[in-house]
Amino acid sequence: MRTVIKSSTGQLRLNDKSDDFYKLHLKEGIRPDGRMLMEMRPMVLNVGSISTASGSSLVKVGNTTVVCGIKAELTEPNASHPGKGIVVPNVELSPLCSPKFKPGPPCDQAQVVTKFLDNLIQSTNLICLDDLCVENDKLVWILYCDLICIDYDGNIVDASVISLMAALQNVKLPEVKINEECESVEVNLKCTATLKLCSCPVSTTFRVFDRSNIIADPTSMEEELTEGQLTIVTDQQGRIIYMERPGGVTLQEEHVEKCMKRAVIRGAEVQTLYMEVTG
Amino acid sequence: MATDSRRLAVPQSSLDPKSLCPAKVERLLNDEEQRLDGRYSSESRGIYLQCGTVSQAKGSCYCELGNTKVVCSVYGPKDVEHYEDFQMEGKIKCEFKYAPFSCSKHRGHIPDLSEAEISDVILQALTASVRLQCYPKSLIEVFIIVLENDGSAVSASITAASLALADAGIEQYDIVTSASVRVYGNGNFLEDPTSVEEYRPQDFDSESGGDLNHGLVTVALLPTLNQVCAVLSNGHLECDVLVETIQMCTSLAQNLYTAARKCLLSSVKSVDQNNA
Repeated sequence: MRTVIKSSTGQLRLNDKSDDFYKLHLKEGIRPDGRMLMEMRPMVLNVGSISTASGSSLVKVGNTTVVCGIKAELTEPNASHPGKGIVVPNVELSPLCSPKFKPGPPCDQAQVVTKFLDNLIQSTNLICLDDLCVENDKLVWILYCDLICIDYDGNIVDASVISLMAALQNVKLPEVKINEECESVEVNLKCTATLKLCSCPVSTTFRVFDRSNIIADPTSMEEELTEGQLTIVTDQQGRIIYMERPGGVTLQEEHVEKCMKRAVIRGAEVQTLYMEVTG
Repeated sequence: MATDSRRLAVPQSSLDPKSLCPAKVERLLNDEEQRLDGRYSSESRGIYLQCGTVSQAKGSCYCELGNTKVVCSVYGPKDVEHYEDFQMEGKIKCEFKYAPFSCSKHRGHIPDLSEAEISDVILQALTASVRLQCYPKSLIEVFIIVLENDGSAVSASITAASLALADAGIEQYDIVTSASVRVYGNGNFLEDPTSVEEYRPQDFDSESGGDLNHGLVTVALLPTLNQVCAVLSNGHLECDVLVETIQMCTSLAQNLYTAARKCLLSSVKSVDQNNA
């Protein structure tokens, strides 16, 4: 559905980046792409399409597209955690996906999302790291989780969390043993096991426009116009397990409450999507 | 190894579990002249091309060649940076990257030498077709990422890049199509090789004893003008074998023209429908 609002200056273009244009829409309770304020964009999820990765997924949230590929390799454990495997997320916002990003080292936003995923993995005990240990102090699995954004149209956090979770559910690890007699590593590629995940988080992101309006699942243009973000992560039981609010304008309590309720509903929707795709 | 403070720390090295399995000595052709994936030597894989995959880019293209998956997006023409000299001709910048999970071993995030070399080959192929004199003082940026590499990623990238340029409305003399052929000993030409079939320097010693032809040739072609705009040859090939291989690549690339044309036409049609 396309909405064109007439103003005194005549017809405004859909991709007009001015505040006024957006305010005119909000008065009618609708957004330029035809969504209600709390409406999410349609989502597409696909798993296991990349055969070179141990687990992979592709997520589309509206136009935003993220591909997550997980590569499992063997390495020596950290000296401080000799019996634990290693999980390293990395979000790539390359210049390919939007003119906003420049070539070279990862931009601030990519670092923020990477750190967010890392915090989420560690604070929710997402993956049992003891399961990733092959031999104490000698050999553990390392999961390189690389998320590549192919099309950036806002709300990279939600797309990243969903694609990371779907890819983790898709991971297949071959059986590895250490032969103690000759101290060599033996790999049985035919015998594979899936990862045990302790929880299955879904994140929902909201942004604050003009201090009073809360919008869910912002597009790239809306991200530029709004100030302040709120990300709520729920698990499969509908509990809130992580919340992030990196600065921005102040928020009223009732707004936060409204966002939480919306996040729980959306969480349940995405959980069924996970089940459909992986189950 | 250089550490990067902007990314999470990773161990210095790790091992691909597949590399620990005892390597089988495989022949690429069996007695019935069939390849490992069941194709005959003169059989190409299916190609899928789609323009307009990246909504934020001026032009973009997704290419799938068997299991090989490539995304290319084009930005520009835009102003060159102020410190660069005035130029009557436009400039193309090309960046080619393998995704970390696209190959059998995990790849680093910083582009390595082989990726820089491939960027250069693609740039050469594109420069031949783009009408750079139409874009003075401007820069056209081409970004390519390989999501999965199952051989012939360079050819797929060149075709995708040219279609993305066309999708962005950049003036070109012709689109560029590209194809690869693996020469596997005397008289064996494997069209459109997979990653297992691609040439490795060690193949030359182990398989042939030194007097056979082994190599991988990639050719980029302007199909309607029938001109070759880039050739990349790896390995040991005799002169007349190379000529024969280039001819073979040329006819393969020529065959792609219909698919490329169809892809462009359907992208124009879908834009038309959206506007209606």
